Amino acid sequence: MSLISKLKGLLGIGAKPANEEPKPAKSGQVGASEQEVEKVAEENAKPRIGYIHLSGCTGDIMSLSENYDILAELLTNMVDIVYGQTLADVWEMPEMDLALVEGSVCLQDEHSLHELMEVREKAAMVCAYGSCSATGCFTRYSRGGQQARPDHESFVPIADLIKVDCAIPGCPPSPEIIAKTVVALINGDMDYLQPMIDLAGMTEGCGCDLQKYVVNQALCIGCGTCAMACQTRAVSMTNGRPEVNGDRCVKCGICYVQCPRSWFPEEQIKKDLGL
Amino acid sequence: MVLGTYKEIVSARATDKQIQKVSQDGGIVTGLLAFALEEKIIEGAVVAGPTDEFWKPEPMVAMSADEIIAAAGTKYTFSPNVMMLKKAVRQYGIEKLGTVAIPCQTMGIRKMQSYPFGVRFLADKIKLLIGIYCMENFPYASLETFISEKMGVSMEMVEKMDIGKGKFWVYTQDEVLSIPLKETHGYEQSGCNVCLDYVAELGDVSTGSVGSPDGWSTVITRTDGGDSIFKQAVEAGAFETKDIANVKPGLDLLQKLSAQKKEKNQKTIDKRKEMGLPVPF
Amino acid sequence: MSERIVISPTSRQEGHAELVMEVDDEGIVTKGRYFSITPVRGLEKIVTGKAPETAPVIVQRICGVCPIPHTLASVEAIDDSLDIEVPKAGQQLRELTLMAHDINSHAIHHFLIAADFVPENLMAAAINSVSEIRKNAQYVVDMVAGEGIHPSDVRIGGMADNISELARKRLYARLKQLKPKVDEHVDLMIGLIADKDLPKGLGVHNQPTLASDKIYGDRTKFDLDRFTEIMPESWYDDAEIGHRACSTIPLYDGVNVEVGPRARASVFGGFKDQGVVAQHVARAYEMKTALSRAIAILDDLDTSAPAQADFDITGTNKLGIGAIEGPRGLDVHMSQIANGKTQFYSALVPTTWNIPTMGPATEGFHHEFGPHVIRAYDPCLSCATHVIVVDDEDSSVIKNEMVRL
Repeated sequence: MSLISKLKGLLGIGAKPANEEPKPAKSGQVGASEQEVEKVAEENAKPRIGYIHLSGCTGDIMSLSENYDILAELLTNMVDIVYGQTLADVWEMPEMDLALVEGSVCLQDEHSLHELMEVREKAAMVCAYGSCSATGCFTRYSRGGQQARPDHESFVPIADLIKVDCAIPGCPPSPEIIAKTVVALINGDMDYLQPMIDLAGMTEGCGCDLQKYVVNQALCIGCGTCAMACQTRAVSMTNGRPEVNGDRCVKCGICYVQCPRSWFPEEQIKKDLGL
Repeated sequence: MVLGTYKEIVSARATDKQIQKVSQDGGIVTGLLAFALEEKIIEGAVVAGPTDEFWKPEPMVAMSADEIIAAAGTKYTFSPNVMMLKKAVRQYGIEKLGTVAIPCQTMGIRKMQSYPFGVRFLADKIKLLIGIYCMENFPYASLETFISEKMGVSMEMVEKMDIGKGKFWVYTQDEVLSIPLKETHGYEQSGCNVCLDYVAELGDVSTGSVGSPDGWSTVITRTDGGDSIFKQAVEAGAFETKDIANVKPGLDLLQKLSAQKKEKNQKTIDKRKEMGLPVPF
Repeated sequence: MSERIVISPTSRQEGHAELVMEVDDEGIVTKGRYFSITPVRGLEKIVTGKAPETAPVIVQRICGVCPIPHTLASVEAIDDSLDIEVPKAGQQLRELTLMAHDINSHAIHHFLIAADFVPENLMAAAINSVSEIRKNAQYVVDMVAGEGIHPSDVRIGGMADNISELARKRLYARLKQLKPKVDEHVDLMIGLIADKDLPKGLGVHNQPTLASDKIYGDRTKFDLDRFTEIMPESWYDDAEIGHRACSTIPLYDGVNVEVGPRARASVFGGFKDQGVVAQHVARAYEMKTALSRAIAILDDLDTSAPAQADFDITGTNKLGIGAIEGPRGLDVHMSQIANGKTQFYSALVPTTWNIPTMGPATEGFHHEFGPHVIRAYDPCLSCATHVIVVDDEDSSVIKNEMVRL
């Protein structure tokens, strides 16, 4: 069985019937799934990764490249970059274990639509990489009318068009989260990847999430994590509650993603701290 | 497990007279941050600093022992310290950072360290996270209500606030006033009511007055880093310690209060779930 | 007979583009056309009608490779529209940000062209050298501008904050230490590019160069009267390419130009060489210039001085111009503010200038060298999408109806 179909099975995705593969490894579950992951990791420690650029700014892949101390190791020994115009001279999209898709998709651009459909076919795992791809980010504000292509008007997160297996939001995602994700992937650490899998369903992000899903839900404790996390400094704190400056919000979703009251990975934190 | 995973628990107080004078209890937070700064374990710390408004703190970056000491003492309202961490490592240029946080703030920091989705080059710069025990936190207007309305004292007259022995205390220049804690119930922010962490279980070191005699604090060391820094500080004479088994009221009280918080707030969580409201824990 | 070679999308650059070359029997390019096929997200239209503060936040997301010049050109244009005088420390911190970014961006380009010039046995060393330089350069951008990729703290009127004395000393020491590393890196790259033995004259063209300043950018050296812009449909003599092309064609004195490190060296440094090798050499040397300037700024910076001016956001509808010399060349943003909102916004970015020049620069050599010519410009295609601007006779106001042209 190929690595690709194994990964698909582990993630519970793809066309294969569920009974042919072990169930997805959920947090805290032990047994067959973990062994399977270890086996996969042994058989192929170098995931084949492709990078697909849609309507993004390339900042996300730039961020990946800021893993300075491990970049040479990452590119030569840890993963195989099998596709990606920014990085390699390959024009035919090959089969991939993981496709990092940067950018939202323009509904008026046939080239982008075609590429997105192709990547879904060729990649075992499709990752919405960066907020444009995951939530639409600031391209949510696009409304066409600009030369040379005034018809380019509608930009949507890729999950609006294809099934997305995991998401790494951020404008851009930090270098560290990318390194952590790649390492988890190589080690088959599905517990670590679970939040990324869960976030694949979050296709809308906005500073107003803090108000709607935290303050309105009686969950805010005024810790200031959202204000710290905001990459455009759109969030400040007023009387212990987030104040979002809509003039600076790019709808990346990071304030809510980092909020300790949106989801809380207690087990992972304790593991990381040795507690 | 009611006190989280830890290495050691002792009763301690800072030996520095100046710190003793300004600190809430044993001066652990002030003393440990000042020690870490002195020893270059950290280059600065985010603390709840004073503002023009009485008892309304604001996070600030302290880069000297004097600035840390100026921020000593507990404030029973919001100081969103986490928000200043990034600026501390950016414009302030700090590479090794310390901070003090209540349990919910430690959660925001630790989550960012494990999953730094949009936060670059900050996670590994936090070298010392001191957690403080916390039952609940109050909006500023709630504090005003207790103090101005219930106790009849204006905020600017207050020299110290404290919670202990079942009461909320206010010290002015010439009086000591208190109201029973049950009179403060319902004035806390409601986000506190789903929190299961009393003793800052994710800090490098956690501390608070509960369990130790007046003027002393109970210190829990948790991570390798936290344990090592605290031990260095004790060895250097920055703190004197007592075996927690030999002090009153002792560990039992700390365990009791922690268990109470968990039990009470678990009920809130269960009730929320029944109503279909989200709960992150 | 003539054959057509299409490279689509062109690789190891930012964004999507196509290179279409007509070649003769020997494979020599007789006609080269290079054009962007990156979708147009319409950032200029996004920021129009919104608060001025929105513009720099959004337009820096034109591109994640060169976000700094876009941010700077944006705030400079708004400063100009609102007649804001930026305090000295704010201006120094802006320039420091650009210098660090130049070093970073040029290093990234060396990473992207490594496969063209660096032998296998030196590859790991070259990547590590690039990483080491970028790490230090980005350390500066993080501290001074808030975020290394999309800078949060470059603001209208200056910078959100000055840096601390600790930060200044730390950055000064780091950059001083970086100097021998950058010198060594520049020598290595120039040596390897020379070793490649590219055909003499590759990439040489007859178009003029355009630059506003040696280092930072100067709005007074960009003359709006001499600038026109036309649609790809009337530029490319191939109707299909004209339609598919996603960027407009800017002209200066009625002709297409070259911008970037070689243009700056030629206008302000008496640099006479042309073509692919000259572009690489000029780019590499700029890393040294930028580093020296950054160190000088850090030496002089008063960290207790204010970094941001007070200003009134209302505006008088004055056409403000921001001209920044980005790593890839002159980046001009224009902003008009009235009633506290952006009334008009336009960004004329480096790669847009270069696009019409890059295709013809492939002509006269074997088509296999085509991609070399393109990469020598370090093109950045996400940037190169843009609304048309036409200069008015009296050059006072750029009118919206001209967009229809």
